[in-house]
Amino acid sequence: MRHALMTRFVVIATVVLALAAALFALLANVTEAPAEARMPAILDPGPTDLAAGPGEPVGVRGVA
Amino acid sequence: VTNVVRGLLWSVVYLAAVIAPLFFMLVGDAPPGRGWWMELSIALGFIGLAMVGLQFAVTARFHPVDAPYGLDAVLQYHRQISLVAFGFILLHPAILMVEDPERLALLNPATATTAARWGLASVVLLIAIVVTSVWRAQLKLNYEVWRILHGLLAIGIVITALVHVERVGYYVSGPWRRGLWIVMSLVLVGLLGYVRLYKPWRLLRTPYVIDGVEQLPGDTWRVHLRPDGHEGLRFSPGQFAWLTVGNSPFQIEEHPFSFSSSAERPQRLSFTIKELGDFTSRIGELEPGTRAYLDGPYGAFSYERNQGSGFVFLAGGIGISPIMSQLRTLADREDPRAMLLFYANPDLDDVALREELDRLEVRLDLEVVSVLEDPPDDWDGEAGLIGPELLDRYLPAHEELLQFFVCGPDPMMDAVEEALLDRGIPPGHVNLERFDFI
Repeated sequence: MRHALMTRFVVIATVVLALAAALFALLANVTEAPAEARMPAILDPGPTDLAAGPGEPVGVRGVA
Repeated sequence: VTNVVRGLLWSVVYLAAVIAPLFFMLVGDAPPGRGWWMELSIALGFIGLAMVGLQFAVTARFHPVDAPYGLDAVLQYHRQISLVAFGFILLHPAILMVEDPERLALLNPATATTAARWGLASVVLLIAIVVTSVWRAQLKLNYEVWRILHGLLAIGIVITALVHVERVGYYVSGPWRRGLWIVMSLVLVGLLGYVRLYKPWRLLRTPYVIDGVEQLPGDTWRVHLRPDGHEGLRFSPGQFAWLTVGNSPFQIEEHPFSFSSSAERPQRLSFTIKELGDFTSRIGELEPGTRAYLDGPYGAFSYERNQGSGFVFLAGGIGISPIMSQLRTLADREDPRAMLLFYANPDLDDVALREELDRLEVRLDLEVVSVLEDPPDDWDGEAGLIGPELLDRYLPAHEELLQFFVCGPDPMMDAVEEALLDRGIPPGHVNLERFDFI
């Protein structure tokens, strides 16, 4: 019983968390970033600076 | 009802603890969004990271958290939700790469940014922890090695992921968000300190001494412990504790065992242990007088919190251990209720506690049904497995009013649970103890 309820909670938690992620994506896009921030220069690190770290593009900090 | 309310409360707290940091990042001067799919990917990554971080809390054995569910069910949650977190975290880079296939280059450490390298390292460690946990037996990893590896990999996953987030830097700017990440990191360090330092330090005040080790039939041993300078541990019959043998409680090696002694006798605790692994195969070598420590009690597999007009116990092999504790306690308390015990074993040599069960049949209103999968020719008990036909023959009328306790190997428990539910036994009356933690 306890184990079955726990499995049920895992399913509920998965759905709730997935919905939360979707909601976050909606809210985060209320203010949209400029186009260059949407496609960070991950393929061509380009010039680096100390703030960005070795190999990181200047300015745009990549994708999380 | 109290346990149900507490259980619901902790479930809500868990979900809030995972979700709240995510939305906290949108408070104040939030950075602008970068498209729905990218932000979804990032949200899944953050949620996955929060879930992994919270695993340190889920497995920290906090009594208030474990009590409503039972630690065995909490650890089952730990295993299942880990796979969900694993899926969320894998979706994070997967969505980015599907959205723009050029991002597949993120998988190449030589061309990816530092941030991506840390993220990749975290994912590699995550894959390693899932593989070594799900397939531990197939990989022939012994429990002690696995446990150390599991802890190190878990810490590695969180550290590399936090560095990944910090290097990307998109949602960690500003004092509020930076403060949040510092607090979350400190909570994780605090949890590690609680589990590895504070809890063992508290155990120093309640040491035990091995009082005797008896060999029983079927590669089974009974270990007796007595408290050394304190009153002993109060537990509910059917619960279990984590046993550490040696002079220091600050050890990685500890093992969960069910009490098999009566809860009415805390001055002499007993565990009935079958030789199943590296540690248990050395149980017979324990010397009387050796120091030991107990972290517990844990578990919800007890008649004390599941009262009925009578009890039916169904034990498979060493699953008899927590049931023996309940029967001994019921006998010490002179409980008049009717009880039925199905005790299943592969063959006669595996039956560990027959003589004591005979004595308990005299002290209690108890009927013991011995079941052997492979009985000898002169066997007068039941043969085969515990199934619907056997239950038909022995269960009394109004069986739905009884409480059922099932403990044994997983396949046996699955089959018995299904058979009981098919008979119309209310799910709340079917109590299972799954002691196969990993």
